[in-house]
Amino acid sequence: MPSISVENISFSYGRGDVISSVSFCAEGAARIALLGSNGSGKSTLIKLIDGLLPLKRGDIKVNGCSVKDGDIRRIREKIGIVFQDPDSQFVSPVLEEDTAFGPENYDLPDIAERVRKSLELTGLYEARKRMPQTLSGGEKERAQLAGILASEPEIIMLDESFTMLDEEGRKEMRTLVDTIWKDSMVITITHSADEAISADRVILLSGGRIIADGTPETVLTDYKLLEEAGIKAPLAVRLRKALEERGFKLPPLLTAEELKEAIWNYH
Amino acid sequence: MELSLVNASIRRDDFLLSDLSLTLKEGLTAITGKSGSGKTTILTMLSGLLPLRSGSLLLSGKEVSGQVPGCGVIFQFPERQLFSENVFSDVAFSLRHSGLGKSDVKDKAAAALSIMGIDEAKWYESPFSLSGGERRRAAIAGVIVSDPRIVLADEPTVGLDGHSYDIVMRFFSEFRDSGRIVAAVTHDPDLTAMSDRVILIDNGQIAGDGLPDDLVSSGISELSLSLGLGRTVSFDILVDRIASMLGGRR
Repeated sequence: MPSISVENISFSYGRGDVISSVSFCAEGAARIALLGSNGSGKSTLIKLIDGLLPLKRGDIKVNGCSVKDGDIRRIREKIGIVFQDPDSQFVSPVLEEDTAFGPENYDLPDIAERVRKSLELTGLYEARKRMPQTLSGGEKERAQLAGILASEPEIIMLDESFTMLDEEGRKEMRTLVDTIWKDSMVITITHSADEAISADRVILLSGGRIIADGTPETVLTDYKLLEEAGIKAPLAVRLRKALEERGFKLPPLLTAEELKEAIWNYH
Repeated sequence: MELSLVNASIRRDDFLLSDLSLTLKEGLTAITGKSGSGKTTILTMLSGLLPLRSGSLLLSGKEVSGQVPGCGVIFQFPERQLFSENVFSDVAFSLRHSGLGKSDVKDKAAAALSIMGIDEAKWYESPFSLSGGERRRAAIAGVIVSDPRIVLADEPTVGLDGHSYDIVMRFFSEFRDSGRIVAAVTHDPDLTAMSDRVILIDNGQIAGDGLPDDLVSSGISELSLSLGLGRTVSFDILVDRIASMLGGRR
């Protein structure tokens, strides 16, 4: 079972801490949203978990292995990061070679089978001989997922992923992620409260600190906290508040669906 | 001032874009549409950086070959193009060979950095010491430093929020009102909503051309439509409409 344990970590690039005293634990097929504005420390935190930045204060354990000792490749092999811009991730002129890059580098067995399965699950098997750069935006995102899937990581981090797609494309990708990684831990790193709604836990970062850690219902409706973090509340929550200010009181809600229902039932 | 593509065609790999005609006028135009529809290609054609196979590119009626003069292009993730040893010299780079005197170059670079809200304390630091949002703003400063009459931007707000987002949005709003031609390829509903005109691209062709309210699909417009309240991308208008619907039930 995948697990992450972040234990009282702090980090500085040289001029003041960008991460200070951050702790959280997660295990199993959790769906976590790491919510924070630009400069809140989200990206630094991911780089520390993945061992891309050296951790000096505190400790991070992935599946029980500390990033400080132990083989960092063992940890990275368990973590798949889906970046914002798929174009920056391609390393090979042929899609199936690109998909094989991860497992080859981790010396994993059965590479051909892994590549075939990954491309099939992401609906790209027919495109396996194509040049990744010539795929459409949505296909490139799926190619990025295939490359990660091939190493069979247990912890998936979506770092402002799919923001280059339109709303429909984003929904499609999120559904695909939930299907192919239903037993893995999925951590969504985002500055959009609406993107965080579907998580079962929201960790709110501001100025390198965790200022809230709870369910979407509690964190995403707390205006004071969200304001402190420089985050706009979800659309439905903002609409509910604006309507309340006009004298129309609706029950607590989070999603557009819930807002619609509350409006239909209003009398 | 007008920038036009007339019956323009290109072929790139397996993507064919043909017989496209489009005129940009002063003000802000949002170019939107699905991923892979050809938005970026069209923007690059408008900049003159992508040679046409047939058709022509006209600036105020005169044919242009090569890059359109006075046109600044903000590419996707422009922060990746930063390369100088410090932020200031990066921003001033395009002016170095413009024939301007040293003090003029300094003044212009300082003005561009101030417009983009880069703190003076950071001007002489490495671009790589800036945050992602600051790097984006510094890169945009490097484009506007030469005072372009035309600005073409590809997803300029993607990945930004808070302070950086507000500054970039304010920049587009001010440039929109300054008599320049400004066009942005975007999925951002707020940037689209403040545009004077929205062009919707589908499969390399213009599928719609009009006011933001008529064309944009965003969380707000989806919600508004599903409540039977018509299309709008304005939060305030949606609140008004819901309030009057609820008020009617009292």
